[in-house]
Amino acid sequence: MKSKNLSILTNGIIKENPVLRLVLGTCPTLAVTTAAINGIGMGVAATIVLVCSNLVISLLRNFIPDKVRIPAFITIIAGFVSVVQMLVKAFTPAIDESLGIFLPLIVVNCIILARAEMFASKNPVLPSILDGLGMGIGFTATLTLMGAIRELLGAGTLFGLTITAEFIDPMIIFLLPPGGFFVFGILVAVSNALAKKQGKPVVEHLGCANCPSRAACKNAVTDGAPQECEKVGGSDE
Amino acid sequence: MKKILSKVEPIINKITSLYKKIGDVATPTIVLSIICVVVTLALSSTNMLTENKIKALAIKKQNEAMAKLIAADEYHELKANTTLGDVTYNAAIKDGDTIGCIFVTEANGYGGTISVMTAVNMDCKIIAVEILAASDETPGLGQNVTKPDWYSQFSGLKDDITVIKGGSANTENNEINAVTGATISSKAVTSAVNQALDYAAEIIVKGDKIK
Amino acid sequence: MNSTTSIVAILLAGILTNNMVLSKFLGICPFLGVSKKVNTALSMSIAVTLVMVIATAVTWPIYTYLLYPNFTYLQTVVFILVIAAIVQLIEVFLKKFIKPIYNALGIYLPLITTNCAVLGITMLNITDGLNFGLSLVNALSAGLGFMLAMILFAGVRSKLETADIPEFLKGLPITLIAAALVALSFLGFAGIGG
Repeated sequence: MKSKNLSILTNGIIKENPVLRLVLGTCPTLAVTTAAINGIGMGVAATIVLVCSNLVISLLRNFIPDKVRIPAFITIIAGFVSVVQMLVKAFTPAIDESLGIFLPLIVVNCIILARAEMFASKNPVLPSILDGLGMGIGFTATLTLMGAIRELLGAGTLFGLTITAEFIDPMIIFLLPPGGFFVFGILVAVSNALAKKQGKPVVEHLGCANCPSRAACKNAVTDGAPQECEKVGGSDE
Repeated sequence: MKKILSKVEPIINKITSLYKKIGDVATPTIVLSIICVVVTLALSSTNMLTENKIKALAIKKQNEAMAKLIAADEYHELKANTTLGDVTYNAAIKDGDTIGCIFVTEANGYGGTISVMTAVNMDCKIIAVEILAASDETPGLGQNVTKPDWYSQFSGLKDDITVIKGGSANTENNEINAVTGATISSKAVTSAVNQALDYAAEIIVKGDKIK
Repeated sequence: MNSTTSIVAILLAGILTNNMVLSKFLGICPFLGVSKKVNTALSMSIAVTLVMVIATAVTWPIYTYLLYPNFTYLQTVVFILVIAAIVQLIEVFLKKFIKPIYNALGIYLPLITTNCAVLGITMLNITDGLNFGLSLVNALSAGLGFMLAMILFAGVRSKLETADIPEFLKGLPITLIAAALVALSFLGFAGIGG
């Protein structure tokens, strides 16, 4: 039992890393990772919301009618996001400034809705908390890594400390939007290569399996819309 | 007896199915409403706990910034209506005399709004400026306007400051150098400062008085 | 600045210099997920633009007249629920009354509720302090910017299908690197309006 709980926790960190393996939450991943410290700030804020929402949704899983599941989840998540937002503003205003609009946008970070829909609404409280924690740590670690790479290449610093800026001219392009896409692409390529070595499937494109709106999508298909879910392809953010 | 039952039964069945139907619609609505109410209560209580702290932080930040620009005994918040519109500013008072005015102005930069605090003395000359917020500017480019090395250029200038590219600005012509690669952000800060100077020109009567 | 020039400035900024997807990183998921074919990309972006404008038309008055100044802390919760409700209503309305449009856009609508570009633009309109008319223009321009990015990128991706790509970059990595190049080209617009 203990090892099972442990595997739920580690699952989110490596095997099903939300950013690199499930490709969820790409907007904040690209937007806030101009510095390593921002990655940590975003990651921790999202982790708190993720753990709390998983906890509450798991507690209420038999109480929330299936029909209004998604609006109920969104309300609960939005509630926690607002609470975190107010606390960040009051106690760590510097983080509030650097994350800007992406702090309230944690509401639509699909990692959180996806975990509510796929895990917390079907599992007891303890595993749900561990799942949220694992996914949150995986998210934070990836964002911090990406922030560190972009900060080092783009500004020559790491967590604000000057590392290479003295002798290598920083490549500002890595701090700009193109650099974000590029570093993310390379990270996914590396993660794919590692997965391939272990005989696991590589991430080809954004799949339907991860899409939190999958249920709604299927309804649309049965209503006679011509395309299949697969072709819509997108998880959403 | 049986006859009566057979007549009543369908009616009861109908009522139960009606109840079920109402329940199908009502339960989700009620559950959703309860969730909304609970969330709202949780938010308003968090708000009560943090509201004052957030406000105090903002005031503290402004006071610290003002103290950095002009050392004074106290700052008086004043309002004035000018031809450019209404403005709220702070007068810095030392030993009973007004020694300068502090304005907070904004302009659109590259990514969003840049907020600048400008302190001018009673001759409408800039004492110093401070960038309050420029977090939407590009890190490594536009964000460089927040570096003291750059914005200290404004100190001592007056009237209609212009931005020069290429580093050949002459302070005697009220010129400043743009941040390399971030002309838009530099111009935004400058236009905010110019706006503060325009207000000052109307508010401060030559010499030492405020209108 | 008079109102005509500010409308033009907002339109240019939303479409080119401050493009939703390529410089603000909002709405990346549909950008990567629904851009395989030009026609699906077009339908998705029309649906997004429609929802953005209607959502702004509803959330702006709610914020200005109901939430401000005492209940601003409810902004996030209220906005996301209003957007979810609007998306549902549009879906029902189209299904009932304009079947052809429903058939074309219907499947994209549920995906839009949690699209951060929509929530993002409604919030940015408030933080930027735009009035009602300019907020609508801003929402429209953000939607058009999204559309431009989607269509351009769908075009790029259709070329990728036939390109000879190194094995380890196949799939998502090359898509992201292609997105980097498209974003790079949009940096060229930075001087406009400066």
